[in-house]
Amino acid sequence: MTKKTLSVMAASIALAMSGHSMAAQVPAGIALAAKQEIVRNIGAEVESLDISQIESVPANHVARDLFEGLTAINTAGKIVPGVAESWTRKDPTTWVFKLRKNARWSNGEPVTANDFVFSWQRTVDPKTASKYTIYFDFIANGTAILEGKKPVTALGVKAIDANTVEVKTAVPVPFLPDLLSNPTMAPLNKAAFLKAGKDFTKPGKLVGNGAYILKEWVPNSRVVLVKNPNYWNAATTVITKVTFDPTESEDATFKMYQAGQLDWTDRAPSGSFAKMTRELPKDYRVGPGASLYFLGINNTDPVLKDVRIRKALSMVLDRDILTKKVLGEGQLPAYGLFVKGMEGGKVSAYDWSAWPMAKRIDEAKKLLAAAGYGPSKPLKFKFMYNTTDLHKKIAVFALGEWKNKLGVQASMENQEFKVFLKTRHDGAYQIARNGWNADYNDVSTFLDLVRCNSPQNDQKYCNKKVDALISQGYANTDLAKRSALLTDAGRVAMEDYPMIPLFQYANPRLVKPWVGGYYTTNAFERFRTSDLYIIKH
Amino acid sequence: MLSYVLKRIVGAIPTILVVVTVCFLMLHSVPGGPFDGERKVSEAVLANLQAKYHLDEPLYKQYLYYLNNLVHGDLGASFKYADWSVNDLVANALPVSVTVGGISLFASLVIGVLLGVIAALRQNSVVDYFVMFLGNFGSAVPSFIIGPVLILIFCLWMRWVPYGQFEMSPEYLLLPVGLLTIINVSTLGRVMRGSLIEVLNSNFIRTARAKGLPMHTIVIRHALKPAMLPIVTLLGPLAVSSIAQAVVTETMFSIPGLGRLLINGALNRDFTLVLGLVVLIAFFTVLFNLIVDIVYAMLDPRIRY
Repeated sequence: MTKKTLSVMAASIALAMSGHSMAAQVPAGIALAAKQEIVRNIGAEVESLDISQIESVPANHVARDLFEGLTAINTAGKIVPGVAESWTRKDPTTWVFKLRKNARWSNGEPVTANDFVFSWQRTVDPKTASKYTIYFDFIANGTAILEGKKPVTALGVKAIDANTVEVKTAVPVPFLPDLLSNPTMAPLNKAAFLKAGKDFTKPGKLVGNGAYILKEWVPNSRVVLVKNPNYWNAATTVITKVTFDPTESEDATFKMYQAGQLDWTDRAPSGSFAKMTRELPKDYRVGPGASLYFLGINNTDPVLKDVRIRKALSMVLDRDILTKKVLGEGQLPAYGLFVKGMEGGKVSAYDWSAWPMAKRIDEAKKLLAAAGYGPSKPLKFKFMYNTTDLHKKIAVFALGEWKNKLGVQASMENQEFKVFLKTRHDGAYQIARNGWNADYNDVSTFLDLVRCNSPQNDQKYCNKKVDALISQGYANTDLAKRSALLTDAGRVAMEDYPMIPLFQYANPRLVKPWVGGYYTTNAFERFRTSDLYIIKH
Repeated sequence: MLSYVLKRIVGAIPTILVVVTVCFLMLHSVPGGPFDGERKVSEAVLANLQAKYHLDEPLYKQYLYYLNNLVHGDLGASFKYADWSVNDLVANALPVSVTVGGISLFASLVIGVLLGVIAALRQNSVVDYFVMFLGNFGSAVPSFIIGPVLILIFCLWMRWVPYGQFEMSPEYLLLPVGLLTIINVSTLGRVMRGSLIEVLNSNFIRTARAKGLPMHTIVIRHALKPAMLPIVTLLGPLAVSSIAQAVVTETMFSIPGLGRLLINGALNRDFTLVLGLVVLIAFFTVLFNLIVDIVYAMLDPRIRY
């Protein structure tokens, strides 16, 4: 793609978006409630409200209301302008963002390009010790700075003038606007931050540029935000107060929801699909999640390094029964590395996924026999999972399938979560449950699972051909060709059966019918309170 | 008495030191670290994190560093909750736990002793059977069964009290305090009954009866004090468990107290948070045991320090 084509494309994207301002879009005829307040459960205590320290989903939910990046995401899950009102891609690795002049900090000061430079340089600084730095691997020199090999000033972000930010990426990153919508990439008010010191994130001290201001924060109890009158789009922000509840227990949150103390639960009680659809049909909302549940296989294990065994084990697991009967909460069967709804690549599926189960079992038996296993010498291995009801249920299901269909004698072992993570990262396992939550809307996030020597590749799988396809895909600026290459990379990797994909997660939750602006299509769950409204009830 | 108290306080220091040392070593020997997650952090990021929290230094140095901070009243920075020090987290949770645990302890002491006395005086009567039933019920049925039933009845059916979004006000305190009280009363009531029956059968009570003293005088002036000794013994550990270890109650009612902090700290491998809370619990244990010993001397004329 030529530079000109790129610029025209980017300009047209920006132009198309310019009409869509963020904040609530209340349909005509909807009467709003007098009290515009919402209480939302986020499933865990936030680890921080410092944008350079946040990593969890709950912390991002809160930070998304307190800070706004160059871009933003609307409730339908689409990228829209944030502090930047438009952007252009000058060349494959250079982007220029034009900041809106009316963007203000909560203390009334204007948001400038330097605020972005300061924030990003701070997060990438090894002294800050940020945990969640993956976005900076895409920014020029980000990885080298994190490793202490270059100064923070080498980061690919520059303030051209007070209202223009130039971003240089390490490789062509077509999904950069998506990355920049995350709170980690938001700006920071240097003066306010330096003045408040370690108390910067406390109520009364935190200066943000989002639609809300921090009013109260009681650890393990609540985070309360109120509308920020200085937010550039405050005029169309409807909800005036949002309370984030960190209760972890699904059971407790369900009771709180029934008692009227919550408008939104992070998760509906597991296994309650039938009950919820019967008793609370208007409240029970299920949408697909941008995450994959799979069984990781240690590809270096003496027994499981034989691809025929891995294939046989994958073939006989009936994903339809698992998703519809065992789990039954809207999960989708998975036969590939990518999940539905992701940009940058197509979902693949094994050809045998369309076969009748009897044929799959026959083929799997032949594969096991060829590998030297059968009734006289049954295949044996250990299946590991961390202690939760969901993982146990799936472990029992998988072991049952393997035993009944192939005569496999697998044993189960469960471990406490952190112990389990260490076991898995160390490769001290044969088969272990695993999962992957997309960090951004591009299939490359899933390719981290199969790249040689990737920290996320617990399968210890490596195929140079896959790595070559990934590299070619990343370097390609033609979106269609990039997508084809990355789709191929995912497909080729899965033909080696490094893992057993089981299903795409669903996000079942309870949301009161009067919460307007809620969509189940927002697979990344990046809701901003400013897009929501409370309907009269 | 004062010298005894001082001696006990000084004696508590090595106890707490041993607890801290053992806990420190145990935490560092458990597999899985504070920065392990589903997404593995890169080597560079891990090195930066370990440098920030001194985890890259030899274990003895980390230990000495921790002790030095502890002596200066600093429980360190939380590994998980980056914006809070352990002191901050404890300062937030302690008043809540002391309120919930303290009220329930006081209520269960009053109710438990009263029921125990009535049951002991009316042995094998309906009241006695009721107290015994209550005692056995509270011991046999765990709080994670009683709690949800209370919530179902009073929050969801009757709608008398709110549930969730905990605040330090009577309507929010009623059920969690009630639950802890039920659990504690069952223990205290049973012990009080048994203890009083035993005292009432002793020789000095028989003498008092022979002298013709009325029953209420015998109970209040002569029997109650010695019968209270086992109750006082129980109060020490009950106070610690009600204040610092009411995990089930706190989880059930979303109370931001010490118990939940401790469990989450352990699950997150938040070493400093767990150590800080262990120090606090050790301190409470020593303190309550000391109070118990002082109260002993007040109740039993044979005990002198």
